[in-house]
Amino acid sequence: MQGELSKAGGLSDFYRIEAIEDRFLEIQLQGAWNSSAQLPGRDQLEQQILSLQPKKLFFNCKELSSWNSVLVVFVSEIRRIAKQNSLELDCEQLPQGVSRLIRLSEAVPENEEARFQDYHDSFFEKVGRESVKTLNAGHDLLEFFGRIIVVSGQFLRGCARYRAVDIFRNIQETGAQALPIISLIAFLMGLILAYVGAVQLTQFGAQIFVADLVAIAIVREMGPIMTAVVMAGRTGAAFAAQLGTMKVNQEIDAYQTMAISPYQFLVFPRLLALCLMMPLLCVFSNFIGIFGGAVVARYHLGISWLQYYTQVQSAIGVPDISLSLIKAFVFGVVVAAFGCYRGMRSGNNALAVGQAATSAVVSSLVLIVILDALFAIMTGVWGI
Amino acid sequence: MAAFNHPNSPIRVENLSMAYDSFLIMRDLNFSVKRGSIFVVMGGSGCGKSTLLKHLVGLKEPAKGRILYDDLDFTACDIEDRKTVLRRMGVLYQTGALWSALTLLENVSIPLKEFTSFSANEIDEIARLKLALVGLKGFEDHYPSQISGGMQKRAGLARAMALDPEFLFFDEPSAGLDPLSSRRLDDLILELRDSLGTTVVVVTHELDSIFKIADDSIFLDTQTKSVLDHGNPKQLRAESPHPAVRSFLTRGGDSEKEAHTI
Repeated sequence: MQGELSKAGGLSDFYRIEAIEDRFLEIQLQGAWNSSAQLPGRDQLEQQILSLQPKKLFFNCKELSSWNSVLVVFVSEIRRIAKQNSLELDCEQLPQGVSRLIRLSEAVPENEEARFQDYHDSFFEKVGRESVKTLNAGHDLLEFFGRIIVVSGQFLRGCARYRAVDIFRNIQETGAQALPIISLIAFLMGLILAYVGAVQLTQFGAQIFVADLVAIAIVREMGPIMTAVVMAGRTGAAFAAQLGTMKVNQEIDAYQTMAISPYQFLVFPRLLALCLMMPLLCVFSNFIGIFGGAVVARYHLGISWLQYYTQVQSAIGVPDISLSLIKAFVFGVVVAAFGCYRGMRSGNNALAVGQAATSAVVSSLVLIVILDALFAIMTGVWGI
Repeated sequence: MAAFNHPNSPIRVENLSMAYDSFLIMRDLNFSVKRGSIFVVMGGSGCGKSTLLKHLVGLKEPAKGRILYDDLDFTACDIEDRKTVLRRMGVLYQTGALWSALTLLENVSIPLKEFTSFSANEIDEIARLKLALVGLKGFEDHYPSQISGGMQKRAGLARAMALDPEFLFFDEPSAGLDPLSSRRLDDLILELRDSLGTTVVVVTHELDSIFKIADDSIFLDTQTKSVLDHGNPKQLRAESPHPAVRSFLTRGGDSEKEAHTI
């Protein structure tokens, strides 16, 4: 009987099993047993051997030219089959190295405790475990916000310890360096809104109200939202990744054992920088967005710059701009806090840092949208 | 032999049990560290040596038991007392754990800036001295990522020594160092004890290092989840009643090798 090994094509057969005499089985190994050798499946091999009803197994290695651990695996498999079916196995003929490797692999017995047990929880156990997890996560988040509030209080009283240079560096990273991407997004956002409005308003001959539409939509909604979305993807993820990596490197432990609070030293400068920069970025984004609308109004609808400008002036007032700034500030807190929170709670490996960055972005986006809806309802009710 | 409740033992551990969630790592550890001695925590890989260190420096809370620094319960005291204890200790982490956004000089200066009233110039001088002590003169303005692993470790030591702490903790100091650097580090540890009277706690399984520096030691055992034996490692190697300890200290009980190790 011949081993079916050459599935990949072009490969020679690596072994033969031949019955000799009375229920003696010779396993003839041949050729080069290297990584291109394909092993037969466990069951297939077992079937091949047992179908001949042997009593004793031999190896014949006369035609074996070279080998590596593939052969060791194969021989171990035969040993297992022999042991399970109480067959005699003669390994004398095997290359000495193979026997030595097998002995080495069996030198340290299996650690039964080390294997992971399969848990089959009941439905209620799962619900219970998940509830406890969620509750703990909520508790943890509250603790984090508590710490942020304490640190902010210490800052206001002037007793927080941090490096001023960290604040300035973060301001540069979260503020100035974000301008190009914010400009692009805001400009296109204004452009898109103006086009969408123009199609509808032209039907009524009310093209001039494109200015109102763009100004109100940008200042009250799109400006703060788009800035926050960009900052969540840009800065929130960066905060989480920075702090997560510091955690992996034990840098955060090093702060703690030096009695320096990482919340004052690492979290606070980031939080402050983003909370200062978000309203400024939002104002900038509002201007660019309105300008984007103006470009469409001027070249697509033929409205003059001045007409557009006066129309915008009459459309938005102090309440709209204040709303815009407040929203930007709140979103800034959300993005910075979640970025830092996920970073500080990151696990201790590369995968966990990636997850921290992802969940920083996802949770801040979700919260931003929810808060924006709340703002919309509140301003609607109060008629702002 | 470790003296329990000795008045001259600034660090005392009483009935300490350590656990990750519900997984128990060690139970009912009792030992004390004498002032001005080098105390080695040894044991096989994964037995909880580093976890014990994390408990000693307050990064992990004990599941049970107390850790006392000069009779102050470190694990239960209020935050200000705890900070005072933390300021008396320096920790060298396995990989150095330097603050990667700061230069070596800034790394060493930060504790000085935070906890001393020296002028900027003095701080600068002290930080440069500490870096020179660990052989890193000239690398003051390098960032941690620009130097080798061994150098990062030495810089980590310079930072740990910045405030001349009473207690120094080392997590696997010779891991990842070449034989010469690791020997120099051992010499430095001995020097710190002799010249400044620092109390040193070292977590390691490097035999050469253990025999060279240890005054006293404990052997943690995974099987029993407790301290299997304690005392001076050289004595333990010869006299320990536990085969596991003797075999650990002789690299598997080879009597010929035993004669060669220091």
